[in-house]
Amino acid sequence: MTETAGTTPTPERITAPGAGATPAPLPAVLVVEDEEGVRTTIAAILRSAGFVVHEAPDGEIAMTMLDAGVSDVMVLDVRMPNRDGISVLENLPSPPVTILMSAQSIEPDAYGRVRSKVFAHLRKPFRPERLIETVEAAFGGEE
Amino acid sequence: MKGHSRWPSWPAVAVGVLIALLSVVGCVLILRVANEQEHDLLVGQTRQAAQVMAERLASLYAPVNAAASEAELVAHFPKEFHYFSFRITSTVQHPSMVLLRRAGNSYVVYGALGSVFHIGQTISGPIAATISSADKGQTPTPTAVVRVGNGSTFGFALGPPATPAGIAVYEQLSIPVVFRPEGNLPFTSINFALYGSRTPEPAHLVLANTSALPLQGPTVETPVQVGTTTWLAVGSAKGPLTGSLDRATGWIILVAGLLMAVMVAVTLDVVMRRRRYAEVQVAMRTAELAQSMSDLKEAQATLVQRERLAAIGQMASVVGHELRNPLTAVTNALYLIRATGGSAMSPAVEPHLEMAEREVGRAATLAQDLTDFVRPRTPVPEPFGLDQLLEEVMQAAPPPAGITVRAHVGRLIVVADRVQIGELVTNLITNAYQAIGSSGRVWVWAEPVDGQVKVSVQDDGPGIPPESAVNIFEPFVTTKARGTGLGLAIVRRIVEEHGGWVAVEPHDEPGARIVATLPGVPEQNGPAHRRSDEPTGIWVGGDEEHAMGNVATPS
Repeated sequence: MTETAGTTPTPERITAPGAGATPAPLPAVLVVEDEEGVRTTIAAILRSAGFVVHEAPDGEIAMTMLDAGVSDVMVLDVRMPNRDGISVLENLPSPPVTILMSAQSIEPDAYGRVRSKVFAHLRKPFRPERLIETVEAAFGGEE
Repeated sequence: MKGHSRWPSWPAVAVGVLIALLSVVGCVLILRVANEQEHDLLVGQTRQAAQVMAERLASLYAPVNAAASEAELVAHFPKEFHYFSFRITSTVQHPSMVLLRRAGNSYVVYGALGSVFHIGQTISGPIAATISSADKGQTPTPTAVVRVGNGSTFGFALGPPATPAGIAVYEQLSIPVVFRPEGNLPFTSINFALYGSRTPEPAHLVLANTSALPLQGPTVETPVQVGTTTWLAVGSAKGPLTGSLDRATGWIILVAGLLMAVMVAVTLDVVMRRRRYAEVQVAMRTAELAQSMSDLKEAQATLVQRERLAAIGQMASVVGHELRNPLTAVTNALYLIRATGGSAMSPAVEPHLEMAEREVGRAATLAQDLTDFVRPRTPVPEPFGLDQLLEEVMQAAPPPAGITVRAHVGRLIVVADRVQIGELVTNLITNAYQAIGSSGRVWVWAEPVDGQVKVSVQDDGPGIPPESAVNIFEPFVTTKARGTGLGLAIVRRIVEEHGGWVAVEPHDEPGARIVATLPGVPEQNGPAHRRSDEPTGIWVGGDEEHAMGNVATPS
């Protein structure tokens, strides 16, 4: 396990921030992942945490969706068919705040090219709490 | 070349000595044959010479008989003796022949030839005795030989019945002792001496063809019949009678044999040396061949092992990575079940959910192990304190409930890849946890050995059977009911990448003891880092904080 022990999530955190207040655009997250099981559970977890979540099954679709300006934060898998995560980052002039996910270790050269555009890197499998914390931090511009 | 000797080998010496002995024996035999031949020749020639001499002497005393036949007539006409003696003088040079009439013990000359005796002269003494002893038959009797200067004098006497009673004939001769042979064979090849006695007494020497007397070297004696008496002839060889080549043959054989002995011995020795050299060469080549065969086998075994490890590694990598996506999905799903189902869930589901979460955690650890096992990483060495590292490891992998860990690592400095050594210590300690099972104790200690740090981890579990002690560090080999079989393989890979070794150490206490060496700093060898130092810490499973921690660490 790469993560260190964190705090257990409290039930209050599951509700969306700002829910019940003046209607404001909900923070939108784009989850780009080819593995359906991983993508849908990540989307469900983030939705349960109060985020608006869009899903893309590969890099090409993600690029199209990002052109339409659907998200502020992106959770991006590295290895995918139809344009991988590294290529997506390389080909976007101004990508959203990006959290990179990988099952394999990333080739150091490729990682070096996109490092400046990566907010955080999560190695699979990661604890769901860690994912929520990282996405929250991405919206807050922290870390 | 080892064992090389300056000395010739014994078979060569033996053959050489044998040939030399054979040549000596041959030489002796041939010399003996030559000597026998020489002796036979000498005997033959001496006898021949004696024969010639006997004939000559016979011709000398032949006139005595002639004179005897005239003796009676001359007794009546003494002055006619000259006339009769004509025949005598024609055959004998310088004869001194007398006719004698007996008068008691002496004789009176009544007829004489030559100038030695005159008529009327009385002859007595030894000559008279000889003359009287000759009164026996027809053969003249020689008198004793008298040496006078370089000549010898002797005579022949003849009495009745060859002469009338009271009458006797006496002939006296004087000859030079040394005579010169006239090219007759026996006398040119041998030295010859004639004695008027039965023994070679110098006083009785009649004649000889040499002045060097008595004769030197091997001599042959042979009797010579002179009148009624036997004289003695002695011969010796002037030179080799058989010819010089015959006599030299023995010596030639000896010299040739000795030369051959030396040559054969040297040749044999050279041949044997070459053979021995060849044998040594063959032995060396054979040993080299055997060595390279064994090297080849070893290399092949290593290659097979390496290929096996590579294949395992590849598989482990694929499995490790491919497990990650499903694990992520399952982890997320379990989270969602707990977060969304929450209070609506039946309490009976809770233990199942917990079990699923625990097992997913284990699967994640396995995936991590598989990835770690193949991940190629060059160690980045840095010095750090082993006690600090141990603190961190114990925080990350605290003992489960029922297990107590006691550590004595002193303040040793290790120079190694900090992350990898952390992984190594974690694996050793969690391996001990898994070996123990429900409850037990783990000891960790370290000691400096020759610039290295020897880390030992011992548990009081069931221990490792001796037959597994070697392959326990192979991937996927485990003696435990639970475990991936990769922990100790990772330990070995890390240790070997750092130039150390890891082994199961046999000991008398129950449980397993695994020892690994890590690179240290040389100057920390000394009594200050014994196992008897104060403990680094004691961790008790189930506690939030370990019991002593840094409190016990001397600062």
